[in-house]
Amino acid sequence: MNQTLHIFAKDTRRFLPEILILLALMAGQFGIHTYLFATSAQNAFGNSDGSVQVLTVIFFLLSVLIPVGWWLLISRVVHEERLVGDTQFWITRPYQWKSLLTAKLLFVAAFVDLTFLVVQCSMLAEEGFSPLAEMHKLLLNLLLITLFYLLPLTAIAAITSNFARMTLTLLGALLAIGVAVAIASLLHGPTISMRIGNRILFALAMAICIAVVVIQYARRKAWLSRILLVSIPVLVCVLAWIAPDQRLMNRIYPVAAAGVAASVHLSESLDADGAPTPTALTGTTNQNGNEYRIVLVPFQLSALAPGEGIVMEGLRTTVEAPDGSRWSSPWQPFGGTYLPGDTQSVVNFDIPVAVYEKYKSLPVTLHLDLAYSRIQAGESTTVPLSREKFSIPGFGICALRQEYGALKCFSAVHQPPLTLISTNLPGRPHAANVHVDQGSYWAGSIENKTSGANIIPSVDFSVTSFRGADNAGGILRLLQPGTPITFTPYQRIDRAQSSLTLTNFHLPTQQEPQQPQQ
Amino acid sequence: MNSIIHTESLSKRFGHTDAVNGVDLAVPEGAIYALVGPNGAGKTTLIKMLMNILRPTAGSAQLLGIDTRQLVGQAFNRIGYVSENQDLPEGMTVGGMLDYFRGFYSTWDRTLERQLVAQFDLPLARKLKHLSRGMKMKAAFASSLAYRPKLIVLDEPFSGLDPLVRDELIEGLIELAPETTIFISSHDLAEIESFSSHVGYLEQGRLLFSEEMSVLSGRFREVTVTLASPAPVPDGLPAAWLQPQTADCVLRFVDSAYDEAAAAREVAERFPSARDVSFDPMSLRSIFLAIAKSHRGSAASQPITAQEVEA
Repeated sequence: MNQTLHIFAKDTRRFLPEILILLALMAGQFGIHTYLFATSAQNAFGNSDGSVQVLTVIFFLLSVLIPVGWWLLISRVVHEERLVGDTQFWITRPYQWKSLLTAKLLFVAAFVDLTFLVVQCSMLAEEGFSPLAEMHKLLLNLLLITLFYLLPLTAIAAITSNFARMTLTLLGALLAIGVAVAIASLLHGPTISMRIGNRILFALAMAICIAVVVIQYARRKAWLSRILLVSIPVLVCVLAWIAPDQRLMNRIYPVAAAGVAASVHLSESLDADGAPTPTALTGTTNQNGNEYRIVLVPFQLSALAPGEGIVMEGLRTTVEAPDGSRWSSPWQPFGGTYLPGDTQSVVNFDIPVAVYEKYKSLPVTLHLDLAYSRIQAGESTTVPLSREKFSIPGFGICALRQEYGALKCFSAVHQPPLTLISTNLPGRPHAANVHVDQGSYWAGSIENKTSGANIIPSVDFSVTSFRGADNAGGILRLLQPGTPITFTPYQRIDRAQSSLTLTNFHLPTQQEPQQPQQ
Repeated sequence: MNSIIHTESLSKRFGHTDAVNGVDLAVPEGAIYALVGPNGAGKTTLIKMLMNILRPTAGSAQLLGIDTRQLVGQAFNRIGYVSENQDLPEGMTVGGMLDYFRGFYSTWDRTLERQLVAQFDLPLARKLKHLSRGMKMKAAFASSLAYRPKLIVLDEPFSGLDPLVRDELIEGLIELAPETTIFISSHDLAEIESFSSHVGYLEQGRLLFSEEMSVLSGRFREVTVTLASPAPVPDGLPAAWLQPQTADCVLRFVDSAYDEAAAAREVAERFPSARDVSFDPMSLRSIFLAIAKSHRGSAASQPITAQEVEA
């Protein structure tokens, strides 16, 4: 420990100018943030005066410069006792590698992580949040920044000898990963199981970065470390190649066992006369150089329990011809949030033009697999609308901005949890805690805890319209302060799959754009 | 006597090149061992293996009884290393560097440090990157001597330095010599001849010999034979007689296995008509030039020991 502190103290003295510059950048960011927040000018409604616009640009620049400063500082502190080469002064001195590594990590923790955390806490406090109450989110965000950004930088610094080489290596690494992602996309298509694959890949990449740092400090085997880092883009391609799309989806979104009713029942959409609602072609799209037709198919859903809902997340389409030939799409993103009472929906699926032309004149069997998350309502909070800031526990801080026709909200660090905001629209009855067609707005995400690393400590968004309402005149302009508004959080219960099979189905040939009925 | 440095068949191969080839070396405690050889002989590679900077391809080495592959961390408490190729913390001042290194060594001697700073006239407040090469080397010496290491390994420490700096450094070394073992590599023979107790000669990665300086000096003589009449170099001369050449009536060669009585007898037997014979001691430089020239051109250098030469 003595040696760790001895090296840490030396590095602190050596890089005091760099540390002070970084602290000045962060102090500047905090100062500008405070000013902009106080004047509410960062709301970006477009009517800011000149000085505020300049400060907004400077704030943005600082948000870029600070990570660049981290990059420089990590390069300086790691290259001070560089790990590549055989002429370093320290390798024939009584350095303990664990002490050296710990000293470097301590340096990054003290002058990057800790200062960042302090500034984030200060900004949050300025916005009206309690930093202590939001500490778990701040720490998670810090962990993500450390893993996403600081760890790869440290690993690259550990295999290079100076800042210039580190920069070139970093650019090369970004290029290699970009190429690998492009190849992966060609191999696997825009499938949502790759999101899960990406998580596995991220975990592997982080493990490789950690291994590289440890190997370099313990053994200084630069060639081995470089091979390990090069393996990351290779892994991207390999994972995309071998990823078992359907098995992965079945594992994450289980299919209801035989004899057990699915939590959501899907059926063919019928009109008032009992006839199938017409399908339509809604256009064409181009993916990876291939042209696709977009087919719209209405469907009905039922069996949603009271207080529950579903969030659609993925769609897989299979078309089977009478001769037994078939075409299946990969799992593709598909969105939409449904509550009890929502019965009608549509899917848009992409089908390659060649496949479409082959099957369009045949009666086929259309099989739709839908992957979704079941969500459950939590405890609602109803507060009167106010032009002053009001706090919604677990959600954030909001204020009614009638002059802009918006309800402006801030959430600490990440997107808020998926929340239904409902209110009593003028001339309509108020409905709290249950979904109504009018006066509701979905905010946030069920994935809020893994929404990535943020440099800015809060996420802001504006509610400018309500579902089902006539928003043309700006419905929020009509709401009066004091009107009750209800925030109902939803959280995921589980994930599941349901399917819909339509026999004797004819692919539509008419381009008749239809409005989604949800 | 214990060996502070001991190697067995130590080898290092870079691609198809044998930089060091089967070196067996033993440096006794308290010795000032000079490893000499031409540029590219493998001296730096050998030293880097001793310091665990490079891993041997084959063979093994021990420093202070520790396998060099295990030579990390605290083991360097007892070893000082200065190399012409080694970096220094250039951003630090001389004083800052000494302060910093002091924290690593339990045996750091502040008095000796002050003495070395004064002796080398080191500017404590100046950054290392602003120092001349000679001053940097002095700073490196001070930082490697102040903790009184049991072994000091020096790789071409005087290369490119002016004579004054060289003398100052040698003086600093000699003052520490009674309590330490010094292993020094150099291709400048004159500078190490004055203070080395042992010497080893490395050429093309092979250690041609390794012995005490006095023994080496004792077994080499430049022999001048004045003949009665001009004659070519006779055939069948002993292998230990290196570089025989004639000029008019004079035959000269280097006897690499000199023994006073045996040499006089051998010369008398081979040249009965010789009018005069002289056996002159040789400088280290002359010895190595003779060895180098006699080996240059041969397909593969083989180690020479006094015993082999005598045989």
